[in-house]
Amino acid sequence: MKCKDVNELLVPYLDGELSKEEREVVELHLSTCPGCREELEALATIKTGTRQALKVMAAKVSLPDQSWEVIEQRLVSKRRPRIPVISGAKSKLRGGIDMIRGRLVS
Amino acid sequence: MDLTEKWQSDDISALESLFRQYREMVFKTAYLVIGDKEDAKDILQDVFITVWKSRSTFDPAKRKFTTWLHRIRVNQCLMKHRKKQPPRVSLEEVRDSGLDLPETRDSQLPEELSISKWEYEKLVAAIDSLDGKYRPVLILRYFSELSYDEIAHVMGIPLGTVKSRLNCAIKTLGRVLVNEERKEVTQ
Repeated sequence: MKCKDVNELLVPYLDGELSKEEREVVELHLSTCPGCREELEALATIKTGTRQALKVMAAKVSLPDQSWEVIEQRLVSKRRPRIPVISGAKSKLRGGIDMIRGRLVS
Repeated sequence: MDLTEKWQSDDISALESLFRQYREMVFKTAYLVIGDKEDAKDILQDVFITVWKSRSTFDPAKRKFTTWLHRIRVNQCLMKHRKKQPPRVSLEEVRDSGLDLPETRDSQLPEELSISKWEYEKLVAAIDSLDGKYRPVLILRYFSELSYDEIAHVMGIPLGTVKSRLNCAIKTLGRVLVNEERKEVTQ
């Protein structure tokens, strides 16, 4: 196998995602190719650095406490049966209040 | 009856337990992908609303609960689809977060290999600048620690695409670091 072909397999090799046969081919090539071994070492460093960088980026944010209450409220409001709005009920109520107020004033 | 069985039997307290168990994972992964805390908070809520609504569609015989959860999270991130600046971290913030950074290249990071402060800063900037199609795959692999097969399922892409995107992402990060190093040398 050529260096170019092995190079495509180095990241999955580091991730333990190659088949047994592929892994054997890569390891055989690495045993005879210092250039690819050097590349493998560089990729391993970047991979570890990436993991670390992502951890730190995630550690920077903290989750607000009230999240569950918001979800619960959203679920409850979706479950609650709707009360039908009686047409004109609001204006009738307003009229009744005005009438009582008028009597009290007089 | 385990937690997922209770949740699938309409027990809302089981949903709350699942939420408490996985909220950090969902929130932080969403934050790394989207790059905005408020959006990540909205996504977290939408994910668990969907988890409740879609409880009958989860099949424990086919997938792990966490893989299923990641798939919902990915869909919610896509729905949000707001391209915002990814999070940027200063060295001060890194120190504030409680993680020790090495003083020199030879000192050890909390993980097994060493990386300098300079490399770390450049790496964060390089991750931020990654193309949108590489970033989620990178995060699912090296933050969420999903296998290639799980990433393929979560993202709805072929296994070969996962391999090529990760390969390309790691090599792009390497190129950015090398270019930055050259710039520093010539300055």
